[in-house]
Amino acid sequence: MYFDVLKQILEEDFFVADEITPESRFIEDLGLDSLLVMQLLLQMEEKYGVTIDGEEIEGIETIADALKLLEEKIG
Amino acid sequence: MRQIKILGFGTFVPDHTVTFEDQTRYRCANGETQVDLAVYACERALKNANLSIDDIDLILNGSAVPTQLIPSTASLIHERIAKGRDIPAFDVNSSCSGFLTALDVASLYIKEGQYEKILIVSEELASAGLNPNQKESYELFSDGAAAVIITASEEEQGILAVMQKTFSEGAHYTEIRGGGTGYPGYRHEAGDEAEYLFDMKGKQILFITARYLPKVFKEFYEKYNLTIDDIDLIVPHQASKALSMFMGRMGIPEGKYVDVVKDYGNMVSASVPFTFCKAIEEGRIQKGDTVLLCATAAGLTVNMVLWKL
Repeated sequence: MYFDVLKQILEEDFFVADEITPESRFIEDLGLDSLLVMQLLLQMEEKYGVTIDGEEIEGIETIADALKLLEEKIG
Repeated sequence: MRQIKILGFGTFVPDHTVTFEDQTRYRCANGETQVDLAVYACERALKNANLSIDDIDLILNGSAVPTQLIPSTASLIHERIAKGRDIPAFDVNSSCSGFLTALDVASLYIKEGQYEKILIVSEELASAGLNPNQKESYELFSDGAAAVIITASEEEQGILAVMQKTFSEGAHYTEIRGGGTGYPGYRHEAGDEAEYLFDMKGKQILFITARYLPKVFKEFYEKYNLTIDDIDLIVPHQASKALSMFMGRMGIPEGKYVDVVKDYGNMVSASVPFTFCKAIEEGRIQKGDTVLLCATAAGLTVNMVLWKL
C-alpha cells in the first residue's frame, strides 16, 4: 500500500517519469537530489502523521529503505 | 524600525588558498590567530569609517568558536585594539548566526541610547578545528573575518524586522564536543581527537533544515506582512553547496540572493557579514535597499534580520 502511495507522489509531485520499483535508488535511478529526498520524506511525515528523526534517515537510498522506515513508524 | 546606519566596514581573508575541484577555500597558513583575523577586519572597518578606536563605545564579538574558554574572545580583541580604553567588550554567540544576533542586540542598544557607536566583528579560524577524515566539512570551510560599525540614523533606515528560532532536536548535528565541561581538555587521551574537532552530520542537518527553514520564512513573511518583492537582496549564510537548491525550492530566484560558496566556502559566523560587506563593495547593495540577512546555525538555529540600508 505504501509503495503505491510513494510511487504516486513521486510521479505526480516530483515528476519522476522513470520506472519505479522497490529497488529504485532515489538519486542515481530516479534523478532526485538530496534535498528532494528530504522533501519527499517530510511529505510522507505529513501524510501519515508521523515524525521521522534525523538519525533515522541515515542509509535511506532506495524506495525499499523508505518503505521499511515508514512501516516501522506507522506499524 | 530601529533606526541605524553603517559608518564603515572591513573584511579579511588570509592569503593562502586551497582548492577542492572548483571550490576555493581560504585557510591561514602563516600562523595567524583568530584574534589576528578580527583585528585586521576591525582596523579596516575603522579606516573605512574614518574613525579611531576612541570613537567606539562598545565592541561585540559574534563568532561561534572562541579562542579560549575564558575570557571572551571580545576581551582578547579588546586587548589588541582597545587596551586601556573604557570600551566594554563581550561575545554574543549563536554559532553561525552570531553576527545577526549581535546586530539585533546592537541595534536595540542604539535605539535605547545606551551606546552610540558599536563595532561588531565576526571572525573564524575554522581550519583549526577541521577533521580531515570528514570530507564533507573538511572541504567546506574557510577562515575569515568581517567587521561593521553602526550608529543611530536620523533617516528612515535601519532594522525593520528580526526573527530567531531554535530547534534543539538538531542540537547534536553540528558539534565540537571537546574543550568545554563535557569533555574537558585535561581529559584528552590519544585516540579521542575527533571529540575536539568539528563534527557535522550533513544529511541530518539537511533534513531538519528542509523541515523548518521554509516554515520560518513563511512565519517571518506573515508576521511582518512581507512578500519576496519587498526584499531587494537576500544575504544568506553560505552554509553549503546546497544553498542554491534550498533557495530554488523556496521560490527565491537566482539573482535575488548572494551565493559565494564556490569562491569562499562557509566562514561560520563570518559568512553573513563577509558576504554582506562584499555585496556592498561590489555595488550589489545600494543605499535605500532592503536586505534580508538570514542564517541557519548549529542548534539548530534559524535567524533573520531585515535591514533597510
